[in-house]
Amino acid sequence: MTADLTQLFEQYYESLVRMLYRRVGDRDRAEDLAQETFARAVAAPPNNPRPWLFAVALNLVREDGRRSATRGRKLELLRAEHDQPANAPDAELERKEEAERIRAALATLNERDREALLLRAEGFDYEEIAATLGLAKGAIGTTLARARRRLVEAYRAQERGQAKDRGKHVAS
Amino acid sequence: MSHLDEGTLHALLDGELEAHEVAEIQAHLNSCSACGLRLREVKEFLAEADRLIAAVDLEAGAPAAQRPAPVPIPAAPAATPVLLEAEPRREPLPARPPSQPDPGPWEPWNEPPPPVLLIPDNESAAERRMRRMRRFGWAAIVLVIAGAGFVEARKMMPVGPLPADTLLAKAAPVVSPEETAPAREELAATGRADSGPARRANALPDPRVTESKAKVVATAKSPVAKDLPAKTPAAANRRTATDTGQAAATGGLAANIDVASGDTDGTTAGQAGQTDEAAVADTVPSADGEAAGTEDLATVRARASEALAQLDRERRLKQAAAATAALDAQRRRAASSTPVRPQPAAAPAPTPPTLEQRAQIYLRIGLDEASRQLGGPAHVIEGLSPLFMGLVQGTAVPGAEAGRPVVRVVYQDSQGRLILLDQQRLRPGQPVPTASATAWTLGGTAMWLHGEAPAEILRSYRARVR
Repeated sequence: MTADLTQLFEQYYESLVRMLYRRVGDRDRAEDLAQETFARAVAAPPNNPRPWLFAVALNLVREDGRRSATRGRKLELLRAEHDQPANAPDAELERKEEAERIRAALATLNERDREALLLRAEGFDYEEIAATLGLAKGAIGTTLARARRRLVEAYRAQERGQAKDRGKHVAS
Repeated sequence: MSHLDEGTLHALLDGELEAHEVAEIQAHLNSCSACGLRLREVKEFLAEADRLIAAVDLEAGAPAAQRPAPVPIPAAPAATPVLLEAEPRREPLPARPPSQPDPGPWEPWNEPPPPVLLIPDNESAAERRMRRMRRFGWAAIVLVIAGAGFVEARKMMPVGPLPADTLLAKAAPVVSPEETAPAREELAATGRADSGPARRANALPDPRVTESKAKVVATAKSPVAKDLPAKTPAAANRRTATDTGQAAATGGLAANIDVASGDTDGTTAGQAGQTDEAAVADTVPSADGEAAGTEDLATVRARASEALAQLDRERRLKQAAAATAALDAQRRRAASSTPVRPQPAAAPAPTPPTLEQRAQIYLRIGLDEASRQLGGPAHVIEGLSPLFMGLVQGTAVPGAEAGRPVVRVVYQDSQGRLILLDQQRLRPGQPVPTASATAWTLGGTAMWLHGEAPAEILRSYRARVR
């Protein structure tokens, strides 16, 4: 690895894995995808590395998602996430449940909104988001506005649904 | 400037607008309360969305410590060196606790209050010593006060009458050494054993004690005792008894009574003196011979103890009478004062109505819902910040179509009075409300302005409805 690529790796690897983790919900998979992204960067070094790296990573996610759907990997992941140890501390369980709810809320967003939101969370400015997603810079504000509103509303709906379920459970 | 769209507000909060755009928006926000409301709403959504995303952090997966380090990628031999542009790196969103929403970019309205760090002053060793001394000083004062209180309490505590023997024994040292010496000799000669407490009380006091109390004796002796010569041992003995009784009568005994009982009443002492003097007066003339002397002495002592018991009874009776009188007086005062009528249980204070209740709003709504109801943006009073918006029944607004809700924008002036701006979209065929100072139509919307403020104030607000 050249010095520049090493620097690139150190600079963006963690951010990329975090974004991918938020997107796919599985750390191993996120790390694999990040490795794959950097491998592609080595093969074809980008000029504007950050948008390039994230755009490639998101493309890989989409491809991987399609493959995973055919393999039923999603089911495995979901099952793995639900198989919590019985003696896990309450706080940890609660945190995991909340993360699941948020991920489920994120899943209700369309691809573009979700990606814009995740890129913004990684500190991308509107220009970089536009460059990564191939959108006009002027549309990013509206995209983010819609994405944030939908995410919050979907999350609140999830919470309401869970509270209702809990109420039914208690009543029964 | 038209109302700000949500995308622009997000761009503003994300710090993506140019300075001149920010200035324009800020100017608009200062004059448009509707956009101010929308901005607040957008800020909430933005903060909440950021919090949610930050909550899904890498920590939610396996802990980083258990993860293998990322495998470095082998360098491709054909790779050409990359020249990285020196771009400032934007910090990604850190995982924040849920209670701390994203404050957004710096803006005057976003600026948090400056943090205040409270650091205690350093205390020098001398100050510490002084503080300790002060603390000990207080402890000492408390101890002294408690001690003084204890002593006073002990003084005030009633003490029962001392046995007559004890009192007489205390009175015994009134006999001077000159007087006791012959008596001791006489007793030795006769070999007569003392019998009875009265005798023991009279039997030969320790000369040292006698000497030490000589002065007391001198002052306590009555003239009668002085005049009696020590003719015979029996007489001496008798005189000793007489002296004892007299001393008790004239001072020593009374003093003992006072000290023992704590009675400061001079009349009591006087009574005691009189009683004992009478006893002595009775005793002395009839003293004739040893047996008679002994009998007199016993009589004197018996009478003295009786007198003391009587005194004690009187003292107690007096105290009881005083206490009863005080109690009665207290009862009389309580009885004479106006009887306290039982207060009826205070009714719980009525809960003040909420602002929604005051404004008769059955559902609070946001700008979007208001726009949906009205088919366009809600009208507002320029320069006034609305408290909230909501829906009221059409029947609650005279002139409005009863079957449809009316959008009500609620304001509150500086004196707490509610000002209500009602709006209802006019439908084709719907009668237009009669135009007046507080009812009019504005761009296909029927408007009503009313509330708790006086009519002239409402008229001035009407001119500012946009």
